[in-house]
Amino acid sequence: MREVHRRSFLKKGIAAAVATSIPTRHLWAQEMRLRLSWWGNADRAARTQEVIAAFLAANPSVQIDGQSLPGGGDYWTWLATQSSGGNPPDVIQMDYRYISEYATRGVLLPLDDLIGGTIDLSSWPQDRIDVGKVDGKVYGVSLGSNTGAAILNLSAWEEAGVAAPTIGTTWEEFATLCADFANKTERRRFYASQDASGHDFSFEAFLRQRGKEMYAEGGTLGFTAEDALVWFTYWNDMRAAGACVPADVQALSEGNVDTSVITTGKAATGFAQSNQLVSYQNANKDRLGMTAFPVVGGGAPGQYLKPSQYFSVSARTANPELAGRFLNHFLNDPAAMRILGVERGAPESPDTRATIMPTLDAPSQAALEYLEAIADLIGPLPPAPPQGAGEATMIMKSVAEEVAFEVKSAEQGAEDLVSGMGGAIRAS
Amino acid sequence: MNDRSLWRIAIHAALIASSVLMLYPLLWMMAASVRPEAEIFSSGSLWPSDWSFQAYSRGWTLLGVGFGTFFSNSFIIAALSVAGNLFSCSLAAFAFARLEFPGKRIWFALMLVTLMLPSQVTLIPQYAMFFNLGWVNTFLPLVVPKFLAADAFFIFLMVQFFRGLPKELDEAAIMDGCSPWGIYWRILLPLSTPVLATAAIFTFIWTWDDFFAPLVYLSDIRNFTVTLGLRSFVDAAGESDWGAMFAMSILSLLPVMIFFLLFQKMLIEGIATTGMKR
Amino acid sequence: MIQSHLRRLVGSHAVAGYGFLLPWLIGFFFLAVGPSLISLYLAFTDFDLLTSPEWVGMANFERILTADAKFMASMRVTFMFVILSVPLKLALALIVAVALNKGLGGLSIYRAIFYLPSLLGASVAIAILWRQLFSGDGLVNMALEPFGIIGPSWISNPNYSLWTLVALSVWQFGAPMIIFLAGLRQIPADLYEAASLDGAGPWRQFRRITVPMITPVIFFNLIIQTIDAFKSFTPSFVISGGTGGPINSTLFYTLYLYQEAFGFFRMGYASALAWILLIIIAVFTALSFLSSRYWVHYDE
Repeated sequence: MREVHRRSFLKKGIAAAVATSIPTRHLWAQEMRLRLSWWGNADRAARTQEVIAAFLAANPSVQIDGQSLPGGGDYWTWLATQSSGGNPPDVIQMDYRYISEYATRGVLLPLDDLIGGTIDLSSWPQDRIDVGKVDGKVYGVSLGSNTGAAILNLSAWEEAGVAAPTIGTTWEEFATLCADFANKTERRRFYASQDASGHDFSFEAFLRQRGKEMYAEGGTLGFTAEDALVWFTYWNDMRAAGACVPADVQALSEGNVDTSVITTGKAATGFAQSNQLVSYQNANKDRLGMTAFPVVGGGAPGQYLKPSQYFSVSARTANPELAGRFLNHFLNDPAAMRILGVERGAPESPDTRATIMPTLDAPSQAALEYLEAIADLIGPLPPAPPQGAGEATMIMKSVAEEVAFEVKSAEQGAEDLVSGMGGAIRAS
Repeated sequence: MNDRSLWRIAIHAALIASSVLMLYPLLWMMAASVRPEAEIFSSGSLWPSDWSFQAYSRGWTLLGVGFGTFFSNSFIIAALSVAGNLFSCSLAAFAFARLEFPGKRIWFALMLVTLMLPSQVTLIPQYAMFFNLGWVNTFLPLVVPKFLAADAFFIFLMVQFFRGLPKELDEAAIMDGCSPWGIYWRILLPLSTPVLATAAIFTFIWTWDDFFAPLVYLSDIRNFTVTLGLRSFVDAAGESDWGAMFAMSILSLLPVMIFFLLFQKMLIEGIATTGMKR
Repeated sequence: MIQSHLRRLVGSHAVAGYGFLLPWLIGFFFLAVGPSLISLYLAFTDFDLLTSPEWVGMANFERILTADAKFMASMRVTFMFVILSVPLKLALALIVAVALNKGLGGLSIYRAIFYLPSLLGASVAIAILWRQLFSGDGLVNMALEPFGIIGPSWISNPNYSLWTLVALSVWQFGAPMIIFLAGLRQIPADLYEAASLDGAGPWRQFRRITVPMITPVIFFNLIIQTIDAFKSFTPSFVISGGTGGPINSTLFYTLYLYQEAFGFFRMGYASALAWILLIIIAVFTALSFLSSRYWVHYDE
């Protein structure tokens, strides 16, 4: 009995210290005020602030604090601290990989009621609304989507005199092209392809082409050790043939633009996202292009339109209605559409895409056209990644490295991948 | 040529050779700030193929508010931190090094323990506390702890130096009727310029470079520090303005370099130069 | 006897002692004790940062000590890092400080140059640069090539990657160097003059005068650098992009702790990790203090 008392006392103490501050929230509720946070570069900050300014001009009684934050791990540490400390922003830019972590822990407000009322998504296909669903409720509206793309160093492919992969090239054909490239290229320490064995989106596309999924409904793994073995063996063969970069070159890449094998001038093909071509080109002297991920011959479409980010609303916000009105303006105001362009990915509403298309610059138009060109390779949306998906991704990278550095056999790696990733999503 | 000057030449040669090693990254960063973006990640050379100083003017204004504001914010925080650390840490260090009082050893041990707990796990309780005090989005969470000697590193540093000063000084002063405060203020502090300068240099530089505390506590861009501004150029997933980032990085080094050069003069004024005899 | 002892203490310094300590005491209780006790409590809970902590007793500690391969990996990496980087860094800092203390021309310029790497910290720029130095076709291997050595990609090969972080840490020896310099300045010049008259050469002077006179400063640097190395986070975070890779070869203990806390939402588990680290550091520090009786000389 005493034990229980002490525990509940301690728990209350922590809850008071760690969790919340009610008086402050009430003060804020009096004013029509929103705090809005996102990660991104200066360009995104400028566009977002411009939309905020337009909204404020139309709603003089409102105040909005827009906050641009550094991206990557910093943003998530920052958000966890703000949320845990009782001070989350009202409108939160959210990521595909984190939305279920935050939604299932009660940080986010279900938006279903607002979508019926304040936020007008009537022009959206239903499945693009569903990308924000966790356990049947909408916790985020997608601000734009993208899909996987193989970034090509066209100059290097041309120099080697080998035809670069195109939409519909199979994994086997890709391996042949890369081996051919290895024989013909005159560039020193330069390879045809990245080693994508640890790249989660490439593996996911491969699995879906084989009729599997990375994560099945209900938070379990959607593939077996056999699938993983085929994948690891494919890349082991590539490495052995000199068709992709060696393990110690691939390990330099952190999965972002500036550390990728394309940017550092190590390979002629890299696996990335369709909206990143412009960034890759800016960091490269050679001429770049992009195409779809390779496919499994006769397989299902493997790629899908992934929301590049969402806006979610805090469950603690004092002004859910105002948040809804702002989101509606952000998504549906024609001027806002034009200001935002495709900076956050291709807008989900076909109407919006049609509205902005003539105002876009050439690279942005190319990004939209790419999505249409590979429409046949784009399949339905996979089940939302479960809690622990972030950790599972990290395990995938680590196991793939162990196989690539020959610390583990492909067989051992495949088994460890299934048990490791499975454990991560169960443990959470 | 005698042994002594040979020895000197050898030392100079070694120092110059290692200076190159030390300077290389700075030179490389300078090159990165003026070279074409496409060259930054693929070239380790120091000579840009093409020069442009445009990144400096672009970087200065890119975030709307302007780096001038960030510089003055960083400067205010760093200057207050220096004042706070010198004041509060020297007081505590004097007590630990020169005074006898009950419980001293325990307090000293506890002070050292505060150095050992990783900040990652105290971050959230501290944030919750400062938020409940209404201090979030002000400089207070960054500055007030300095006035409360929260950084035990500096207490320990000063304790070690104070203990190195001859104790006869205190005894003589007590004979002359000096209070503990008098010993601290009139005898110990004037003799401790090297360690005080060291503490000032470290506090200034470390506060200037601090990224995480400003990120967590400052939300309004008008309150941003230079380091926070620098990170805003970089978007891990998308397009980053690296040229501007390096240009502003170079500029942000200037104040710390100047501060270092000004204060390091005081490092060499100490007992050795005051002609103290033991 | 006890009474007179007490009277002497109270009469002399007790009030003054606590008076001088007051700012620190306030900070200690509000900024250190409170948050530390909360984290100690959290170490016995399952706390995901966003919902209330659940008491789990010793479960976190049990799992860490019996069933956590990453804990073992990060321990190994961290101990290696401490053992390699601390002595190298201290030795370099002391040698350079002594060389700079010789009253050569251009001293202040050298001091600034040698402090420069520490000014740069572990920033994004350093991360990019380190790759260009230590990757397969980096500058280090280019320098080795004329000698017929074809080096590996040091920074991304699990067998060598930790060494590049050791190199980074040693290269940033500015802080202990400055502290050594300040310490050297406290040595009265007449000691060296007397030794010179007795015919003692530089090496003998270094061993007989310099080292014994600055043992308190050596001791300070040793303690601080050891604690810092155990808690080291940024180099690994910045250079490995937060992963601790390749294959956990640069997974510093605090990076693992950070991943658990903020990457995987297991703050309770991370707090348990933190307290285990605190105990390890405390043992090392206590041992150093015990040993200091035999080799550290204060002027008392």
